[in-house]
Amino acid sequence: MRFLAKNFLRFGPRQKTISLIIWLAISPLIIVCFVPVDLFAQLKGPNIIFILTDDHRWDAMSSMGHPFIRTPNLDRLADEGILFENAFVTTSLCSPSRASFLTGQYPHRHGVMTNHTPWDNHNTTFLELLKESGYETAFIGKWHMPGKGLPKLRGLDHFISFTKEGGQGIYYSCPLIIDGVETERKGQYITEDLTDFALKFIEKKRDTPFCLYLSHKAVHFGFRPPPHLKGIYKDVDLKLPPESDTWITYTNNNPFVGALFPMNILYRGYCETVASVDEQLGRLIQKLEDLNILDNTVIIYAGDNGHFWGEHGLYDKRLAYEESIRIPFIVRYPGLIKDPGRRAPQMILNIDLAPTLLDIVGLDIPSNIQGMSLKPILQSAHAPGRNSWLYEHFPVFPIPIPGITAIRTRRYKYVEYQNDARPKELFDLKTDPREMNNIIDTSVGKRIAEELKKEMENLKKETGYEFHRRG
Amino acid sequence: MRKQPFFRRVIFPIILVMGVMILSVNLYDVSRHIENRTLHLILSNGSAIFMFISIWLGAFFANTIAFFRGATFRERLLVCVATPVVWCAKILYGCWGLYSVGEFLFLFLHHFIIGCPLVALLCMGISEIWCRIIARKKTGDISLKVFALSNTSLLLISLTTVFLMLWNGGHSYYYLYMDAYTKLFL
Repeated sequence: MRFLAKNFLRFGPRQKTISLIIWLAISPLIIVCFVPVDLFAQLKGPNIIFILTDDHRWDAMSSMGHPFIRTPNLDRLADEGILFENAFVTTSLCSPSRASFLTGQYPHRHGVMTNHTPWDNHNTTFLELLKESGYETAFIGKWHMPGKGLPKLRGLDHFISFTKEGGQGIYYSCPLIIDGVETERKGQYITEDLTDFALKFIEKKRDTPFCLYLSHKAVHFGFRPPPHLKGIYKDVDLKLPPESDTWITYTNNNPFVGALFPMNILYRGYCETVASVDEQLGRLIQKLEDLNILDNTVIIYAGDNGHFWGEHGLYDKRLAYEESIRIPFIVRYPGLIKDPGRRAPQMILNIDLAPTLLDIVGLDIPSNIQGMSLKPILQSAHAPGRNSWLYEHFPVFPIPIPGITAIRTRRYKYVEYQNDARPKELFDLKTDPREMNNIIDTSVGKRIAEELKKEMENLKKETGYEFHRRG
Repeated sequence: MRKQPFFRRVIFPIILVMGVMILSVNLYDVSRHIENRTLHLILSNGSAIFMFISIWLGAFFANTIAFFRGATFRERLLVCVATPVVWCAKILYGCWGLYSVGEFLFLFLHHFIIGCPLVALLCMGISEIWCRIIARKKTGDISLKVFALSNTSLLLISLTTVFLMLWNGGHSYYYLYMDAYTKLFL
């Protein structure tokens, strides 16, 4: 450098001008050669991958202490990111919850209140907003919202989904609608098939960041793992709760009452199907690593609702008990998370996904979004979470479970049922985490219930809650 | 067959199957609260099996008893569907008030509701075959047809409808049913 500077001073005016032009011409090349490629990627904004599974409850993974399910890839995400230990859905049902993830709104606001009330295409999804800001977007997997076929969703570059069996799909040979073209997928196992499409999308050469919404059919009913994982948990002690039905013959107004349906066989299938999802997640992470874009990608993994496996003598979801409303929620993004491996105790909701992603990318959060950005919690363990939130469930034909409204605070849960079809419930989650003792009739319970009732009314007003019976 | 009194040929088989159902349902409910794991498993598994048999397959037993006690074909129909109908009424009662009247009526076509008496009729149709074979051998009455019009048509109709409902693990019927629901009510 000293040599160049010394000689530069000896140059005449013409030579100086020429050498200056040469410097200006070659300096970008020098920068390109010596500055890490990732830095450019950072300037463009991170890639986003959101993985949504079906009915995956919060504790069905080894990092949440499950007694036998092994999920090394989910564990890796948690170790390298943040695992939210108190993540919930505002409605524990597939379609409403899915629409909430996409819009950041409660079901009574976005309109998909049950699995039968159609998606309103006037809704704005975070994918649409990301697309407007320059992202390449793809929705791959389960859409499962009512309406005629798939909607013409705005803001999508690729839309790969299925409508088989009311949008639930099937585990094997599920026909896919690939950008509008129905395609047979003979012999394909759906979790693997969808992951293959996701990998193709990720590895595509592009100048813009991408946002991938990968939505699995697994681990919904059917519970079919791929052949190589079938039977991996056949000899384990399932450790179902003591009050569990051995047969899903429910005594709690369930339409399957009286039908033989061994709980243990279903549960083993469920656990093996979770293992399959984890395996495919591993392929996805590996691809990001191979492409050297892992650390510039926000990865979020979540479930659309929980699932009962015998708790309270129940199976399925919908009710406001913890097993039904709690979901796995993991975020990995080294660009923001400086203390990887943290367990976040703050209460977060499915409606927080959309504002979080918009916030991370630096976009304004529209005022009609009802969730809150998790960016402050990702950045700091001390960021405050919410104190309480509203749970809602609308009656779904033909399931004989009444409409439900509930409020969950950090310590208590208060539950009301449509037409008082069931007694009101109050649980102290600190002393009774399994919600086995309804304390509503105790003197303390009465006082707390009154306070929570008021708080619930406030939340109803705040969120514009209205009860809907149809659907 | 010698025609026995109404109570013995009609009421008794109904009480027998329905009694097993009521007993097993209650036993199943109680078993959940038993803390002794072994006892819990014995009671819950045992009662679940009896619950299933009495609700879905009870017509095998009810029809056989009623047949050999001289019940008429119509009486045997009543005997066979009584328990499933009571069971379905119990299930439907739990749904009352949750939906509109139209939706509530549409619920009757749900395969766990309509399927229950249909399976009972299928069981009756099957048991009619062995009852008639045994009766022919016992009495030597060759005028008693094994495949008479009444029981054969019952067997064929119930078999076809149950088969269609169970096709593809019941998924096809269910989604057809739900499509119809969407068109009618939403």
